[in-house]
Amino acid sequence: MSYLRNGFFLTLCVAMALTASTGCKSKKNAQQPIQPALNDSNPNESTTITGQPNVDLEGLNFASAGVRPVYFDYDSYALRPDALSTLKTNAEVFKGQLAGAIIQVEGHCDERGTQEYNLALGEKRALAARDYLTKLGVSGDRIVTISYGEEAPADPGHNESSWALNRRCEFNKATR
Amino acid sequence: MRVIRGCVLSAVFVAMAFAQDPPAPAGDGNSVSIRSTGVGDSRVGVAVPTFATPPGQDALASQMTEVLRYDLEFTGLIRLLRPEEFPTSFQGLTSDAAQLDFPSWRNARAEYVVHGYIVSEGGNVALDGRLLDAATGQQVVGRRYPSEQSAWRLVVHTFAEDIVKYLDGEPGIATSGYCFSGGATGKKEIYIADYDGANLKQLTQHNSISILPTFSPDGLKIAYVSFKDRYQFLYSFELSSGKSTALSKEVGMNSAPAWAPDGSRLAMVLSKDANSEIYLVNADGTNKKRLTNDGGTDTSPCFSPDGGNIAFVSDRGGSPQIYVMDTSGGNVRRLSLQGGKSYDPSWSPDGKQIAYVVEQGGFEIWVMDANGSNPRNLTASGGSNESPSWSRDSRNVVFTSTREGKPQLWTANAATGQNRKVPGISVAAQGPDWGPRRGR
Repeated sequence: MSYLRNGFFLTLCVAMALTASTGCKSKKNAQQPIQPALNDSNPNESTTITGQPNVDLEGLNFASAGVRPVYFDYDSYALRPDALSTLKTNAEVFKGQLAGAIIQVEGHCDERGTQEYNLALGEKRALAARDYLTKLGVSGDRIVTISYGEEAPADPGHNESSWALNRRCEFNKATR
Repeated sequence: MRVIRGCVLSAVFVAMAFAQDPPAPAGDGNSVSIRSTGVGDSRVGVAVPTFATPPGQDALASQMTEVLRYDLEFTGLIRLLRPEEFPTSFQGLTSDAAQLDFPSWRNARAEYVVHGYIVSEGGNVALDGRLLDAATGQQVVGRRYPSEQSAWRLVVHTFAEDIVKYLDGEPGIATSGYCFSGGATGKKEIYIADYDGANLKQLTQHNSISILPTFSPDGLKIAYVSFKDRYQFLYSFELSSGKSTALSKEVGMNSAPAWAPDGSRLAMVLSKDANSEIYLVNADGTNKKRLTNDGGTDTSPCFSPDGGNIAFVSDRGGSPQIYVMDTSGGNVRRLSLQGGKSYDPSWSPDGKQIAYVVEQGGFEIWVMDANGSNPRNLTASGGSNESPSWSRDSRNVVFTSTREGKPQLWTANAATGQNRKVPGISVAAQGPDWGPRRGR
């Protein structure tokens, strides 16, 4: 798997991975976590930069690889027909061009509803997308979820056309 | 003498008093519990003249008096005399409470007169605060409140709680405050402020999204959700040190922290098992025990004040509603039954009521009895009203409302339904939690 070798991003990634790893250590519960763990980056990876970094340019941007967001109805985490279709396309990319990538599914809501409930609703959307991707053959070990609830709208407007764009799941690269 | 608590009861007593005992001039010695100013207003009449000071300290005296007036009026139990109702002979307080002319205050329909005398010296201020019964001229509350000058508001709030405790039997909440999430979309930090909106302070500097703060029962820590380390994790902020430590860093969701009343554990919502479920966790983050097991969405846990039950939101019945379970996850039953989708339960500290949010076009604050009966609306603003949290005296609920545009903190009195905006909070404010008293 290719990682960013750019100094700033590498530092950021290592910092994030370290943070994540602290949390994983306390995870020796009887209940086996169904979500995969986020681990440290490869400790053997060199941080010496000579010339241009060896960057997986395609993997940098899921959008350029053809990955698209999926959209939801109000107060619903059911996958609509258009979402199923988009997820099939995304799954092919995840299994092909982005076969090495760890995928973070980000669930989002529109501004209606309570802040706390929307965090749960966004998570349910992300979990629904994750579940369907695994049915399409993308390993669940490669997919983690996060919910932003109503905190990160794609469109700042306060009407239905904005809300429709904000009820979504986005797919981004996660660090392992 | 203690004034009887509760508007309805008071009104009954007042009506009886008026029916059987026509308005004897107040203060003829045979005092009754309630000497109301008229039918329909059972509040106690209290005069709060501007505190006396040595020459040159008038500005501080005015400010302190205004804070006390706000505190007493906020209780809903007290009718403040307007300055134009003061006796015409009154020329302002002197340092000597014995100089008050009580017959003239009785004629002005004051049942009690507050006497305050302030001395400010160096960096310190001392308030000599007294409450005097206008019927007898007797001092019923009297205390010297010394403080650093910078903490003068807390001094006044403490005096207010002493007055309210005498009149009502319970001290009210004048020394309490809120924590909340403040700021613009994508840049939210954790803030605190006094209950009257003063002393606004930003606690976190995460430059991220930090939301859903909630005070530990002793008020010394705040649990909250933050994306500061890129993922959605739970943290605990210690007010004395200003340090944040992680409470939960599971993969997926770490959300909706709620302290047990004894502070030993928290309920929280995690998705590590690939669904939104409620867990019970030790306050140090260890020993995560799963309480819910349902394919739907379970979130927004909230303890009963006796620690034995947890109210929460679930869509297991088809739409989000308020449910309750015991702390082992058993004995689940639905509480909200009036129809609209329901969210954000908050159990009153006296255990009797649950405030929550009902979606009915907009989002409004409702209150029901703790067994689910008697649901009633506390807001009808048309905006979005969310995240109710009770004051420690179980009289008021703080919540966030968009009725004037940006999210702001408002309170609603659960008995009267009176809504009022928390003044002076300049940032957009969401997810308030009403903390404990800080008085002594």
